[in-house]
Amino acid sequence: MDLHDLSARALGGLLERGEVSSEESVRAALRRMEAVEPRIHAFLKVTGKEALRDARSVDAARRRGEPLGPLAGVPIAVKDNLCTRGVQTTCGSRMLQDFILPYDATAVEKVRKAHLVIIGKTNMDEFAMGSSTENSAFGSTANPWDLSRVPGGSSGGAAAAVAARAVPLALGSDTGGSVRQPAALTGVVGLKPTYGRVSRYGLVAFASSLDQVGVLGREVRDCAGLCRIISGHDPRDSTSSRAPVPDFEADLDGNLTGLRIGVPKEYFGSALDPEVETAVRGALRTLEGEGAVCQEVEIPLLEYAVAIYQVLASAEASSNLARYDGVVYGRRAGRFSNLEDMYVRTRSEGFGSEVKRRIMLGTFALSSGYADAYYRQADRARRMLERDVQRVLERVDVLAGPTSPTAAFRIGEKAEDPLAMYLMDTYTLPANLAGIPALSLPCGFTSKGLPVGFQILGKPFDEAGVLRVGRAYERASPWRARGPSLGS
Amino acid sequence: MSRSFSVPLHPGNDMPPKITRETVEHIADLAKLQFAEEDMAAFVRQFRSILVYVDRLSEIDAGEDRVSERERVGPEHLREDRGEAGLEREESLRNAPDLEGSLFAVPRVVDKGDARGSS
Repeated sequence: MDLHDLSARALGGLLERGEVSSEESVRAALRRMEAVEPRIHAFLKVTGKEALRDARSVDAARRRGEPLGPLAGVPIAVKDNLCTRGVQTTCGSRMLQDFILPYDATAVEKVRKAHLVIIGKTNMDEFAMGSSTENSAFGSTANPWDLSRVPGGSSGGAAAAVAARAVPLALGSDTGGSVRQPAALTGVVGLKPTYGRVSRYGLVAFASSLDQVGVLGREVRDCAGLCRIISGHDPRDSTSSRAPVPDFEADLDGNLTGLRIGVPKEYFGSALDPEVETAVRGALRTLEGEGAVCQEVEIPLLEYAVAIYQVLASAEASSNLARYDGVVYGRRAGRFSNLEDMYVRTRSEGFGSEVKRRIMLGTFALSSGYADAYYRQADRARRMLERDVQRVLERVDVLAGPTSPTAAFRIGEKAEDPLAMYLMDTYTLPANLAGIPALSLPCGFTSKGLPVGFQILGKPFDEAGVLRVGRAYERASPWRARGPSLGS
Repeated sequence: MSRSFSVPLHPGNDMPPKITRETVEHIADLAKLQFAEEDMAAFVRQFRSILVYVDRLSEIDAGEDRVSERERVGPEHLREDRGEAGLEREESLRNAPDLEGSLFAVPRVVDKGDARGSS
């Protein structure tokens, strides 16, 4: 088995025992990345030189006998909306094309402190707005399972890099499903932690009440390990929680006897592809075989999740993105006649069409005469939905269902129909609106050989419970062994 | 910005607000965006279809008495109010599109005659 095929934990074990150096593991990742990148375009920036320097310093620390974490020396990729000191952070936008920050996002800082080695920044929908990575200003990413299809989004580059085995782990962000949906469409594992579990400091803001840093990997255990590394309170993000961070791996292999799984009826409506439904129902039966008890639950407001989300996320985006005015950082238009004209030209030239659409919707939803019917109504509906989800989670331990209504669609297929694209997030949005943790993991393939994702949603701050259910399913299912063809 | 706005107030359950080119231009004005003439028709059409969809929110009975404004996203813990070292000036100026010395430079907003007249 090649080094790049190993899970982060297995690679970490070899590194710990001195059987492989970090430099070798990073070289293997860079070689693999070079081989697959021309076909998938997962990266916006590869930091090979810095990665080898960091790898050698981990090797030196190990030789000195310094205490290192279990993932020290393991390569990792970072979505390009997480700030990285001295390396570009473009957010997939022309607006931030040459943007280089003097500091790391907290999640990035923690990853470095745990001695993982960052090998590059991954492609994404511009400002994380999208479900296909087609909205990147720097070209779309291809799905390693079928190069004519999207990898999902917005963390599509991160998911494709993990699926193609360029890296065993990646950091992403999830505002409405941007970690879980691409994980589902590329056959990898993606975890969105509870809102507040991970600091958002240095994550470029899209919708601040929904944004959360998440992790992608090929195995549940790897995601558990990485999530633990990046979790915890940060004085620089006042919405980050002081809840203690448990060892998410401590009971990872615990059994599921008596576990109550709620299966929301609304997750199995007419929009669900029959092949996806078959795979997800199969996963539920597998969990029943492991001792869990499934029961149908109803959360009628889930029918409104896309409408609630679009109004709230766009409203927050319209104010967050007001900062891009061409004054302090980022792009400034080349020609303008006065200050007002500079703002308008800078924003109109710098933002792509989906970002403009969201800013427009958000501005409309907050504007005089409409704020009551749209923003405030959506805000109240979100509260009601959150309460309904919490009430159901008092009766069951976790919720489960599909991650995405369909498998990966063709590049360009939904480009002219933004609403059809928004509906791809139907099943992932509720976790963001309710602030709860959710995991997506592979549960089979369609007849075209495309991966299908299975989603497990848990109580606030119960990442450990969600991961345990995911691990039990992973143990009992054969999907992990399959790798993508990468077009060959 | 007190331009008159000829779009009817939200009309209720069965009819989404009328989205015209004029509405879109007004919102674009508020958002400091502009659309190329050739993109306008497509944008109005897509914007309208999105608003027709989100208009289903009006079906939800979420009266003020049942739920109040959200308070969940308030800060959990504010840090102590004391000064801390931030970014160095040089670092914070590094990404600026235009500088004059250590200042962010923007196009002139007050002409010399105006400046003399005020203050």
